[in-house]
This record gives sequence, structure tokens and C-alpha cells, in this order.
Amino acid sequence: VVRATTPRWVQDGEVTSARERVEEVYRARGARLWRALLAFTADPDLASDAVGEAFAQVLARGDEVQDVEGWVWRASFRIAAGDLKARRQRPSGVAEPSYELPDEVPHLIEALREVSPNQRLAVVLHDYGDRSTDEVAAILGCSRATVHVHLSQGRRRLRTLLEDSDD
Amino acid sequence: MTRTKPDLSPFDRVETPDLWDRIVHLDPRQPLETLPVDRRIGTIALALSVSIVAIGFLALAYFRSEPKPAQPVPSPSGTSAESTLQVAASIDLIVDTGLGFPEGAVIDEQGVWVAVNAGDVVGGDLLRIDKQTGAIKDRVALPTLPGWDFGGGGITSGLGSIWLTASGRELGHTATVVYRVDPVSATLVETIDVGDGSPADIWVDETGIWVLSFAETGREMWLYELDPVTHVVLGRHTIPASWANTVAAAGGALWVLGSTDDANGAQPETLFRVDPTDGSILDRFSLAGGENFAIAPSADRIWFFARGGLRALDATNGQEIVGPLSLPDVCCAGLVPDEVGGVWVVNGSGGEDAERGVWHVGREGAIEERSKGTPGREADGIAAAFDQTTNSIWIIHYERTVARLTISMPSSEPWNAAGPGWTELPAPPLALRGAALVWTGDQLILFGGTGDYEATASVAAFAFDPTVGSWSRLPDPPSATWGSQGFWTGTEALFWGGQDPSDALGGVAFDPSTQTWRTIAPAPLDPGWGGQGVWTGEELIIFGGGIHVGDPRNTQAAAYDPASDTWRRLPDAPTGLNRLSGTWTGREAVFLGSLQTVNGVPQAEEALGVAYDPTLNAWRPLATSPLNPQAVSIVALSDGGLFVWDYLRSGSTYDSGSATWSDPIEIPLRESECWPQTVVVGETIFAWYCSQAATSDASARSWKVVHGGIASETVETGDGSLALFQTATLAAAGDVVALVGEGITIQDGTPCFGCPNSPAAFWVYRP
Repeated sequence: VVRATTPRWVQDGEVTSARERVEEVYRARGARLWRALLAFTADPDLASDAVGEAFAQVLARGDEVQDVEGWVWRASFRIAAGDLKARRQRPSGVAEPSYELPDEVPHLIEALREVSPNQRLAVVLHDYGDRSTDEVAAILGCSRATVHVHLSQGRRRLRTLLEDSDD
Repeated sequence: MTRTKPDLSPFDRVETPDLWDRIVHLDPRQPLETLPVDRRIGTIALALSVSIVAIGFLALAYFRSEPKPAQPVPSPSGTSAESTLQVAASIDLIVDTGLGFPEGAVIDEQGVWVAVNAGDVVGGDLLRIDKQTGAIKDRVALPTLPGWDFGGGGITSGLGSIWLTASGRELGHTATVVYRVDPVSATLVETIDVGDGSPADIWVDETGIWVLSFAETGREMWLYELDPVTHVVLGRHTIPASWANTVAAAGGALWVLGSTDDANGAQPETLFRVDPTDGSILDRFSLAGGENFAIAPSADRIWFFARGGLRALDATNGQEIVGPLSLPDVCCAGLVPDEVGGVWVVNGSGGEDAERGVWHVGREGAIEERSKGTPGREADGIAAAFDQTTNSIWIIHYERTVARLTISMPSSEPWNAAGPGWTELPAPPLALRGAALVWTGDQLILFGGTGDYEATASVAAFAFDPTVGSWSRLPDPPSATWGSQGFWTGTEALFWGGQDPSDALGGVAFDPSTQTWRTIAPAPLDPGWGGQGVWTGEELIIFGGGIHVGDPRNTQAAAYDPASDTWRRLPDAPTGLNRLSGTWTGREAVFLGSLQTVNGVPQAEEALGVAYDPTLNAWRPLATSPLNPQAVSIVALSDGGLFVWDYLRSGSTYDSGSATWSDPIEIPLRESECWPQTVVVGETIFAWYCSQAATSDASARSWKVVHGGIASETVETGDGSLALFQTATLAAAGDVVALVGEGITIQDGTPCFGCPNSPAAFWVYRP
């Protein structure tokens, strides 16, 4: 892999390096991205891996990537989806969260795990990550109409699961 | 769509690690170790993970010669709307696998074989499903499964077995293995070590056993050849592409679909024609410009989407012989070979702007069949296989279930596109509360209604022609209202009454043969709200109404003769009614209901009825019914009897001979707040109540709830889930029930009916 040199980037009249731009995005949105990945993968380590890999990839691209935030959201979720799938094919089972989590969160994670991967991805990206249906469609590789179906079914299923567990 | 977002805000309180230091010291991983193997994701993901230098290098290596562009060939002259058979396509079976996600499916003589994963646990089951009944006949446990992400599904049938390719690494086998299942005994009889690479697809026929995998470097695909008798690996051919998708044999060649990379990081899918004797690449075809990355081998044709349409190659020589045909090229449409050279195109829901439906393209490129209307949401999935014995396409869904989409041959009946059960058809152009719906014998006419808070009537009308499958706007009527009643006289659609007091005594008539409207002469009744109409075959009888008890309209009646555009005043009825329902028995116009105060308090404990006999020009009272007076719906039955049911979902039949009501029976619908509605289609009584439907035979005593269709649509509110289409306008339309629904909108968590931007839906139900 060829690591890019630090290019210069003009932003708002100021010359900034690509690294500064990426770090700015990380500081502003990295936590939300990481939490969204936790919601999607149920695994803090996998979330960290995906965030780390996506930002490392975008750093390596230097100033080729203009929409850094959109890029890392797409890349990290694809990376996480691939890791999840690879893990599903291993007999070791699913990693259990070993993280200190607020009370309601394990509950939510458990419910999200009951939702199909496409529905979960759509709900987390759209409803928590505030990504547009266009972006979700690009990540899922399907149409906006299908994203709406996944969103609708995922929300409904999630609602049922959360209500059931409240009883 | 369910609009309420789940509350995921507790995640905001999760502490997050600071990864920045790790990020700046991290060398990005090699792409295939980390990026998704999901084809739909992977085709895009590779661009993000492979360096520009590598992509450029690969592109140069792959395309020493440019992929051969498939040359557009004019469609055969046979492809015309006139020669296309209109067919019905409807989901008639849904099978719950009881497991996770269906990964792939194939059909043989024994049934439909579906590989279904077990959820988060490795492996799953191969199911054998009865093609006729949908019953799961066998389950074969498999240690690992293929992924449906790959075009071919990783499952095939041939040489008397079912074959699947899957990962074997976890099992101590080679990275790619093949499972062979005996379809007769439904047992896993062999696990074959194939070799390295991530498994993608398999093809088995007399040419051999061909297994497609992709190298973990992401730089090449491997095509393994196995001996068809001994199943020993004979060799491996390398194909310069990544993200293997599909392998098939046709026309004496192997056809392999995979992704390649260009200098811009895009991944055009490339179809390779491979010489099976030495693995040399005979041709390559770019699928760039297409959305639907799949191929369908059908006899000596290879079908695929590329650059603006559906195309086919002659598999014997690689020449393009069909296309481009303008059919929905969207990511989620399916291409299913018909096994005789043609292909089915199924678009269940993919593509917001793309037309949904089913098309059958013959081997010469003529669109031979197409469905009218859409087969419903259950058709959203991966169209996996075509079964000639039942003329059905099996669809695997994204979770748990598989469905059978059956293609019915046309008949002379106008609703032939609608199979048994529910069929969704294009929604009317406007969602109109209180529009009237009339079936003329060959089209439905939708008139009036309102779409805003102020109840401003829409001066518009639309017609739905089931042979065309679409709505068209009619000439604007001279006036309109909402809540009017519609009747078909045989030559004209009459619309009378309504909620707008200024029009309550008037109406309009539309003649479809001349496409002209006329205004009906005003009725000789006192002004006032309401009144129920009954068409006798010659006259329109209007009876009852008035907003309060004692209103002169309570007992008034008049008859309208459309032939002369004249009214005659009828004798006042012996019982006044202002909340009522009516029907024609063939001899009498029967009205049943109650007299209620302005606040809706009935003046009697039970619903009351009166009957008008036009030949005697006289009224008679009916025996007091055992039904709730609040709201009732009455229909005449084919034996001359009457069926009535009420707001409390109790039903009773009236025998005219003995003038008695039967003991009430319970209709199995849940309590809610709607006016009951009923139509009779053939020998079936169809009851509708707050987005719930039930049917009975002509006895009116064997009720069954009708699930699905428009009744299954829901919307999330702040307080829970509500039926989306609480109300619908019903009409008996030939041998189907037509329902035009206006949906609820949610505003700040509060459901609103009749608000702007309400969703509309149009469904038909065939008993």
C-alpha cells in the first residue's frame, strides 16, 4: 500500500493538510460513527477496527477524497459488514461485548442483533447516523425504494422486540 | 413505511475510545481481508480499498484489449405491445423456513431446494420444498453455506445431485468445498475438497463440474474443473477478475461473471466466455452501465443487463442477438431463465422510478408476456428459479421466507391480471377522502372526494381500465362533492348526494361511451343531509336522511329515471331513518338503519328496516332486527335473502318468506371505530371494517379473516402501530372486490385521516 504524502488542501481560504482535515472529521464525528458501528456490529472491538481502518484508508488517500465524512461512513460500514460476515462463517460464535455500557444499551444491542443485517444497517445508518437514504442505498447497493423497505421492516421489527422485552 | 424512528439515543452515552493515535500509525489492511464479500457491497467497496496505483495496474492488465462492447441489435419486429400477452402474476405461496436468511435456490424434479442459514451460527439447512403445496419435505443440515451475495447462488442441480459450494476452512477442509446432496434420499453424501479461494458459484452438467472462487489477493478468479464421475479436481483456470459472481455453461463454452477494476476505481462487471478445454478466454463483455449485475443462462442464450437494457448473446458464438430491450434495470430485479432460451424479468420493488412487474422475453427477444399490475411486496426479493410445472418463479426473501410467484394465463375476464387473493394495482392519482367508485363492467370510475381539511371537493374523475392496468383522467365533471354515492345504470355512472349541502340534492352522470357528463335534475326532496340510494335496474330510489330527529327528510323518498332525467316523489316511509344502508333484492329496495340525534344517539335499541316495492309503489316495515342501530351494512344475497352486520361485528340474515332474522353470529373482526361495508362478488360476501377484511360464502355464516394486501399495511405512531388504510371505498367489480384506500398520515406522532399528502392505494381482492 502506498502511503500518500501529506498534501495541502485549501479550505475556507486556509491551507490545511489532508491529515488535518481527516483529524477534524474524526474529532467531530468519530464518536458518533463508532457508536453507530457498535450498534451495527454489537462488538466494540470490531467497531474500533472498522473506524481505524476507514480513517487509515482515507488518510492514505490524501486529498483524493473530498467528502471525508461521507467516505469514512461508507467505508467503515462496508468494512464492518465484511468482518461480520467473515466472523459469521467461523465456528467461534459471536463476540460478546466486554465493554462498560449504559444500562439500556445491551438491551438495544440485543434487539438490533435480532434484526436482519440489511435492516439493521439501514436503521442504524439512517436513524442514528443521520445518513441519507441515498447514502444508505449506496452502501447497501440497492435502490432508495429498497432502503425504505429495509427501514420500515427494521423499525417495525425493532419496535416489536423492544416492546416485548419491556413486558 | 413505518415512520417512527427507534430511540437509539442511549448509544450517545457510550464512552468511545480515542483511536486517532492508532489511526495515524495504522497501515491499511489488504482489501480482501477486511472488505465485505457481499457482492452488492463489494463491487463498490473495492474502490475504497485498493490503491489507485494498484487499480491502474490491474486495469491495464485486464484490458490489454478492451472488452468487446455488445453491439445494439434492433429488437425483433415481434416485440410490440400488440403481441405481448397480458398475464397475471401473483404471490400464492409464502414458505417460512424457520431459519435465518435464504441464500440460494434451485429447482429439480424433487422440489425447490433452498439453502437457508441458521442465523448467527455457522451453517444451516438445505430445504426441499414441495413445488405444489409449499410444504417443507426435507431438511439437510449443512456445516457451511454459500452466500446469496453471489449471482449464481452457489447452488445448482445436475448429474442427479444437488450441489453447493461453500467455505470449508472452518471444517479442516480446503478453503473451497463442494457439498453433494442426494435429492432422493435428501442426504449429504459427499464433501469434496476443491482448493484455495473464497467460494462463489458452481455449475454442474454433462460438461463437468465447475467451481468458481476468488483469490484472497483480490486479483484473480479461479475456475476449478472437477471430473463429473470421480469428482476429483482436474485443474484450475485463472481468470483476471475479482469478486467472482456466476459460472454457467452454455453453447459449448463456460460463462463467468466477475468484477474488474478500471483506473477510476469503478467496478464494471465483466462477462467472460471461456474455452472449457484449456481455460482460455474467448471473449469478454462489459456489463458497464447496467444496474443489475447478473446473468441468466437459458439454453443457448446468455441474458444480462448492460448499457440501457436487457441483452442476450448467442452462447455458441458470443454474438449479441437481442437488445437492448427497455425493461427495468434496477439492482433488485431478477433475471430467471425459462430454460428454453428466454428469460423472466421480475421487478418486485427495486428502483423507485422503475416499473414493477413481471416480463417474459422469448428467445428471439420478443416480450411475450407481461403482468398487469404489480404482484405485491412479497415479490421483493431475489428471483431465483423458474418452475415450468407450475409456471411459477420462486423468490427468496432477505429473511426467513421464500415465496412462489405464479404466472396465470390470461382469460377474457378483465381482471385476469389479478390472481386469487390480493393484487396491488397502481394507486389513483389522488388520495381522495369520500370519493365514489363505480364499476361499469369494463372500468372503474372514481369521482369526487376531498383531499384537504376544508373538505373542498375535487372536481375531477378518473378511470381505471384493468386491461391496461392504469388510471386515466376523465373530462372534469360539471360539479363534484365528497361522500356521494355511485351507481351504474348500464349506460351511465350516476353520482348522487354527498356531504356538501349545496349539492346534496343533485348529482352528475357520466356516459363512458361518449366521455360526457351531465347534471342530474335536483331531487324533489326537502334540503338536508344524507339519504341512501338504491339502484333498482330502472330507477334510483333515494330514501331517508336529515341531520336530526324530526327532519322532514327522515321519511322522504323519491325515484330518479335517468332515461328521462326526471324524478317522482314516493310516498313517505312508515319509519324514518337518517343513518342507513340500502340494497336491491330484485323486487324491493330495502333500507336498514336507525334514526339518530345530532349527537348520534339512536332512537331505538335495534336497527330498523323498511322496504319499498316499486311495482306497488308502497312501503312495508321489516321485522325488528337483532342488530346494533349505530351503524349497519346490508346486502342482498343470491337467494333473495338479506345479510346485515353492524358496528359490533354481529351479523344476521333476513328471510323474506318468514319475515324473520337469524340469530346473530360474530364476524371475526376486531373492535374498532368504523362504518361496516359490504360487497358481494359471486357467491362470496366481503366485509370491510377499519382495515380488516373477512369473507363468507353465501350462507353468511362461515366467516374467515382475510389477511394481507391492503389490510396488512401499517404505520407507526407515537403510541403504537395503526392500520395505514383504515378506510377504503369499495366496489364489486366483476369477480373481484376493488378497494381504493386513503391512508393515514402521521403528524408530530399523531395520526391524521384526510390530511394533505395522504398515501393512496388501490388493491383488488379475488375470492
